[in-house]
Amino acid sequence: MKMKTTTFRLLTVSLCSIASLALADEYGDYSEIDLEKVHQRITTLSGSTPAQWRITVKGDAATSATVSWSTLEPEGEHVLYYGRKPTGGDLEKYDHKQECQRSGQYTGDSKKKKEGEKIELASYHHAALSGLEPDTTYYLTMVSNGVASREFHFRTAPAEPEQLIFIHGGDSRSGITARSRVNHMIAQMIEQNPEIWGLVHGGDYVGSGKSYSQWKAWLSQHELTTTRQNRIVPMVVAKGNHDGGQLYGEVFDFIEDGDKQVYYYNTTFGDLASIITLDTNISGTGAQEEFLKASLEKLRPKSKWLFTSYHRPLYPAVKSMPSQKEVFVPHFEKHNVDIALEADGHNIKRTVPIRDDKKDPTGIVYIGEGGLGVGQRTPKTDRWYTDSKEGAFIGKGHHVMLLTMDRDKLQIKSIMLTGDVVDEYVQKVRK
Amino acid sequence: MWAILLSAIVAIQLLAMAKPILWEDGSDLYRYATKQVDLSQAKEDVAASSLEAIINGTATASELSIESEKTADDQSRQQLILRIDRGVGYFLIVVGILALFVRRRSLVVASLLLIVGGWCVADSFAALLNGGKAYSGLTPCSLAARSVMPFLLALLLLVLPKSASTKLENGSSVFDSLIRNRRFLNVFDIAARLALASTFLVHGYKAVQGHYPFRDLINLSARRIGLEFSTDSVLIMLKVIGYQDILLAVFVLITRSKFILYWTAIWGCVTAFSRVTALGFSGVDLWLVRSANGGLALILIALYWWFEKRGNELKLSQKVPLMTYKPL
Ligand SMILES: [Fe+2]
Repeated sequence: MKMKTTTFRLLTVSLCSIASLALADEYGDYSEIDLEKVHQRITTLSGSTPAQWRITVKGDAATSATVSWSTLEPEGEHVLYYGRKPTGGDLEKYDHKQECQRSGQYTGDSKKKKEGEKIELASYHHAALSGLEPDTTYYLTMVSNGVASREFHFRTAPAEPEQLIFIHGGDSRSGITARSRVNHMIAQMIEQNPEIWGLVHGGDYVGSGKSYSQWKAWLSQHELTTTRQNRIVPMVVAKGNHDGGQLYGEVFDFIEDGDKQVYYYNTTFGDLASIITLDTNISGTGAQEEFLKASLEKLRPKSKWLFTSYHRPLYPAVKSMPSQKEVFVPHFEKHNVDIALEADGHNIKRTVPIRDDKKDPTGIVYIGEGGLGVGQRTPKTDRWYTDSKEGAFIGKGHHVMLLTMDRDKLQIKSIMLTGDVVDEYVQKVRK
Repeated sequence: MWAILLSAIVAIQLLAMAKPILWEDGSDLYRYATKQVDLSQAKEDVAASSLEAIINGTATASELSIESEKTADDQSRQQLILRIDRGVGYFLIVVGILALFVRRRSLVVASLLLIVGGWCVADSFAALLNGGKAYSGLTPCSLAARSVMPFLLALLLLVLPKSASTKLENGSSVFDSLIRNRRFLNVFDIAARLALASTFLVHGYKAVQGHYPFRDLINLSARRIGLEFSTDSVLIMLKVIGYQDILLAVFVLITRSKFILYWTAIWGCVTAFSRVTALGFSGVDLWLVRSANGGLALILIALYWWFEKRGNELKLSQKVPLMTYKPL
């Protein structure tokens, strides 16, 4: 009898896992989801309660990450407790403790609203972690002035991954309700497929980068990308043209280099993939070009898949080409970048592979262009690189892109907020 | 001569302005309007304040409904805005072509030009509101030279004689009648100089600040002739260029020096053309849309030259006291 139950259980479990595998290819419709329930998950920003948590990675995704959060009150010590075992929030039991290297008050809006409408500025706290174990789930609790968050966790990437999956999206700068829904969808996708590593954001988080209240909304809504099991999804962030001002650096912990903050950097996933994040808000030439050249030289030979990520599209589906196109593209082509991740145009785009301003099977595919909330524009149908007859794809609507790669091939899926997969594209690794 | 130059530049400029409207992402006004419809459809204001309340803990999510409904109405409104913007694109082309051919008083074409001018100004303010570009707050001032062009031509078409047969003594051109029209000349001259100075002032300021697209323009242009500059030297160049722009703006405003105007004209053309030297073919429309930057100075030069020459020929300088209109 007991045996039978066990067999039955096993059978059910395996059936369920088969079902969930099959489901992994299907995405729910979140376009109409009840926001009341979704918003109940937002943490109140009050006192010293850690809220608005996020994790960014600017370096080796296997061994480093920066855990950040906000508190309304600036007082007290801000400490991250973390380790490889869940402790249920028992701070004593964590292996490690990291005091925040950087804390401070967010910069307020440049324009004050009417008197009495003054917004209370919260504070940011950044705990930069290094020397992490690859392929490991880390459990963590944020503590500010003695007030602890609940226990969260995140995963580091494997040192030599066989597979990497990440979500790419951009432009969450307006459309507050849509932004909540897309964030909720991202959390659901990760719950459904825990192999998804993180989110690559192409920029334009808010409409006005100098507006604290807009960032405040964005940050709290970002909590919604956390799964119900409290897994935080790491981010690789690029700066958009609407993200001007001090706050971008304060939110994502960009450190001053001399008198300037530098927003371009590399993120690596062993020898499987690398992402070179660029900044299209500054000169393409000069220091950034040197950085790009050096990064390409270093990362191309050791990466099966080489991505570049930045805000303004170099092969845009709506807008005109930016001046950086003339600078970046020759380097991309010389070093055989595989995929360029773009945003800003507010549409869905996958170009034909491009080399020398022509369709070329050895070329680079440019994808984007941002649909994490912002209203969508109608892409142009008359551009050679977005011609559907040539195999390109263009569309519009709130969406994310899911990139799945192993050592042989890369798959890109454009998934709408409705759950529809509107484009699916597979590319073989370069010889 | 100056009038032909004016109409030619207006035509070129309007055609170049139509390009992004018809083939790219539309005008700034279009982007502004569609965004407003989007935001009102998403009830962004309500959503933002509700969300704020939820974050502050002054209300719970269940107390506030922040739902958006898509209505067919919103969709059709977006379509309408798109159609209007397209219409504006074609309208600019038509007015641009008309501008080339009208050589006498024309209330119709003048009013069309006034509409276009108003649209240019409104569009530059929409760019200010849209934001997202470095110094977008200064757009109306930086585009002043561009925006003033249709107004100048409209003004001209309002004061020209009704038919070409109206001639002055030993005159040969319909424009000769204007030489007595001091009010017109003054308004024209001052408006043109104000706009030109405003454009140069803002560009100068941006250059002094090391505006990044300018850095790329220098670097990419230099690269075509095999030169490579360090970031520091580019920044120094931009400082020099910027202060020069600012000085030119000041001199354009306070003098009518031909030397300054020649300099301004050449410099305006060179900087506009740098779009082509840097970006190649794709920079052509960016160059043409900036025709007014150098063109306006050229028009003023031609105007002063004409005023002196015809004034002397018509022996006007004695008869008409040129107190307020006096080329230096
Ligand atoms: Fe953008």
